[in-house]
Amino acid sequence: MKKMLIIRPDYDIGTNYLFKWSQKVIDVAEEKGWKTEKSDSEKATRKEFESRLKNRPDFVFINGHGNNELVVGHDSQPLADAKNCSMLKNTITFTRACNCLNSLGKKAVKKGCIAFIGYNKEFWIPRSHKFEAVPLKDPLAKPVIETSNIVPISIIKGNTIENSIANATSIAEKHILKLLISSEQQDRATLKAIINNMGALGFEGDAKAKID
Amino acid sequence: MTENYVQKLVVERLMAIPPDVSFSVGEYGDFTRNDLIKEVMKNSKVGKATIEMELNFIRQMPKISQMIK
Repeated sequence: MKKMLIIRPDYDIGTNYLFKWSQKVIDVAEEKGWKTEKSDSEKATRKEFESRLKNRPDFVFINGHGNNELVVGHDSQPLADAKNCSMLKNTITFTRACNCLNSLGKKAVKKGCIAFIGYNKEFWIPRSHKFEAVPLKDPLAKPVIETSNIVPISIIKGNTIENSIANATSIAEKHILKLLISSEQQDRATLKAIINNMGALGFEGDAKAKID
Repeated sequence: MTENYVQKLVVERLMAIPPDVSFSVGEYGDFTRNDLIKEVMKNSKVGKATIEMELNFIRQMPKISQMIK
C-alpha cells in the first residue's frame, strides 16, 4: 500500500487556508487506496515529522511557512532543514511553503530525496475578508490553492514530476484566461497571486519519478 | 527605471485591488492592500517581495498574451 505523510500546521490565517484546502488531497489519496498519515495543527512538529518519516512514506506533502533554508511547522517552529532533510531519502516531497526549493530542496535531493517540488519565491494566497471563517468558500483563494493542489493530486494519480507540474500549469492557464476577462476588481488579486506562484513552482531531482 | 518609479508603479497597481482583500505572504504574515502599499514605500522585505510579484506579473504578460488564440 502506498503511503503519504501530510503536514498541516494551523496557527494563522495562511496555514488555516492550506490546512482546509489540503483535505481535498487527502480525500483523493484515500479514494485511491493510499494510507495517509497526518501531522495536524499542534502535532505538526519536528519530532512528530521525524518520527513519522521512519514509517517510510512514498510521498511527503508539507504545508507551512518557509524560507530558503527551512520550513516551519506549528507556531513557526523549525520542522525541516539541512539537519534532518536526509530523512526525506527515497521519497517524493512537495513542500507548499515560500522559497523552500532554493536551498532546502537542493540539499534534500543531494541527500537522497528522489524529487523535491516546491516554490523558489513567496507563495501568495489572496483572500476575501468576507470568507475568512470559511476558507473553502473563498472565491479569491480557490483558483490559487486548487491549482497548487493539482501537483500532489497528480502525483497520487501516478503522474511523473514533470507531468504533475505540467498539469498544474495547464489548470493555471485556464484560470488566468478566465480571470483576465473578469469584471470583478477582487479577481485582480487572484490573477497576481496565481501568476506569481506558478512562476515560482519548480523541482529538484528526477523529473521522470513517479509513484505507481 | 529608478527605484522611486518602480515603487510608484507598484503602489498604483495595488490601488486597483479593493480594500477588503488581503494576501497571506508566508512567514511575513497577512497584509491588506494598504498594508502592502506601506511595506512597498518602506522597502521592507515583504515590500520587496510585493515589487517582485508586480514586476513578474508585467514580465509574464507577453507569455500570457500567447495563451489567447
